[in-house]
Amino acid sequence: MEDWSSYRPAHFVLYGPEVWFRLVERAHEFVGYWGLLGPLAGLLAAALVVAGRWRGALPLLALGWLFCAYGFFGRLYAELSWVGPWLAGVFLAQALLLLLALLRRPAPASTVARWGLRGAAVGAGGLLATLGFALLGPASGAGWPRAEVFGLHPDPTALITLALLPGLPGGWRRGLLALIPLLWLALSALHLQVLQAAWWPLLLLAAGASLLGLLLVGLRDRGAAPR
Amino acid sequence: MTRGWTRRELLQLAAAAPALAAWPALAGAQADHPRPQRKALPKPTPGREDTLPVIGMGTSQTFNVGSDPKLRAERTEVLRAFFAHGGGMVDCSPMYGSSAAVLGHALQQLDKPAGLYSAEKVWTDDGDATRAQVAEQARLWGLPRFDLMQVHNLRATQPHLRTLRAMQEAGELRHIGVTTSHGRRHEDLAALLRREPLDFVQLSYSIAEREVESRLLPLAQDRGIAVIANRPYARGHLIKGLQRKGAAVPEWARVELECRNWADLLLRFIVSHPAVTVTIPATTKVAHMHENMAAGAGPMPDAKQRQRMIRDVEAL
Repeated sequence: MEDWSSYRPAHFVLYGPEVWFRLVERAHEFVGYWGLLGPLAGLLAAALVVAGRWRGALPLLALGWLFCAYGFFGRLYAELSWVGPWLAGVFLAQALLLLLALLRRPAPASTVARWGLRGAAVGAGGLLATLGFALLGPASGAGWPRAEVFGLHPDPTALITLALLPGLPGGWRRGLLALIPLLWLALSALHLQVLQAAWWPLLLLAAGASLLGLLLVGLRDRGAAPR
Repeated sequence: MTRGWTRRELLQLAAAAPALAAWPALAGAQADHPRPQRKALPKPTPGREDTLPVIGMGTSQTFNVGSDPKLRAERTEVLRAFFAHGGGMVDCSPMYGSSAAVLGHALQQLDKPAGLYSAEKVWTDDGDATRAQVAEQARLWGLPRFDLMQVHNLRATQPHLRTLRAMQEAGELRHIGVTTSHGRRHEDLAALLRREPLDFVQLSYSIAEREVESRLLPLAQDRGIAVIANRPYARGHLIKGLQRKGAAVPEWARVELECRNWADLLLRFIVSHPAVTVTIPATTKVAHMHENMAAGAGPMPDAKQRQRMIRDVEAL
């Protein structure tokens, strides 16, 4: 019998920090300046949600997850680990869920973000996730190739999605759309801890803040719903 | 009466001239790249090298770099340094992601160094997939056959061993063995060593992980099974911990054993155990490879000095 209690998260990470962060750089090398479209798409998605045009934001978010599935996990990460294709499948599933959310009937105005407190919170979260996270790598002295951006890299893609979800129509669908990004951020935080990246707690903090935001808007929407 | 040079002697001298001219450079290269001591391999094969340098190379984590050209080039230099020191055993596994492919690329760049002793593993629960996995790994390495094939972490041990033994008898493999790591499944391993006619066993052994000293190492020695010690630095934690503490190598080890650094002390502790044939530190740095290989070339501690090493490291 395998003694599973003797396993630690580090035993499942089959490469060193250098290799992982080279993956971040190589994702940029593959797309060149087209990579700038990633953060632009993230910012556009945030602006659309804040303006209440959430239907326009969903395909943008879905595209981000799709590119991560194919490029980052399917092409790059799959070379390092047999988990790569599985993660590509999970990211593809999230892209499909985001597209399926388009099938929803028009939502009551009170349950989506508009300019105001909710819109401001969603907008600030989106901005922070898009630009703030991208600056972490370069700020650590590693240069611009280490900037992690929406659509190219999984962490900012999950962060932006979670930041914008409270601005989307509510109900169980919002919770369903949050499930994969939340699980990914928890897994990614563990992975970054093994790789000794200093910012791993930020992912848990962001995931916690998003969860709180989702719960608060969920409660508010429930109170505002017609009885 | 003096005799003049014959034509044959003059021709022999001319043929030897380049080698004589290169002699100082060769001697210099040997001094720059000290060669680790060697230990006997099990089952000597006529016409083949029957000893192995006590320092080999592991590839877990370090060679899993995918198709990244920059990192592949760096790993090739690590392997070049290994063979410059007369390196022998290189160990890999299908579990290590792209490591076998990266190794194959590096070996091709180095024109398949002559001293290579290739050690691979079978890592699948499918007992019928042994041959297919061995063939796939050989393709990735770019080799016609392996020197050693091991059952990794005792997965589907019996069916794999049956096939590996048949392959060995057919001359498709030189040696066969089994592996564990992180101190797991020692009971199963001990039973296997008692029961099976194996050439090699691979297990975790370092100055910080000495559980195998009490039973498995003596058992392997009794049964004439060669031992590969993996995780010599406890996955880097041991040497990094000592360096973080700013601990200096004990003075007596510097004087008596010429230990210049912790690599010298930690690796010599392992390979000086009479049961251990080779240890396989893994590294991504050429400088560390030079240190590892040089460690195998220095004076080895006796039993008393080994105990002193343990006391000194535990005191830190």
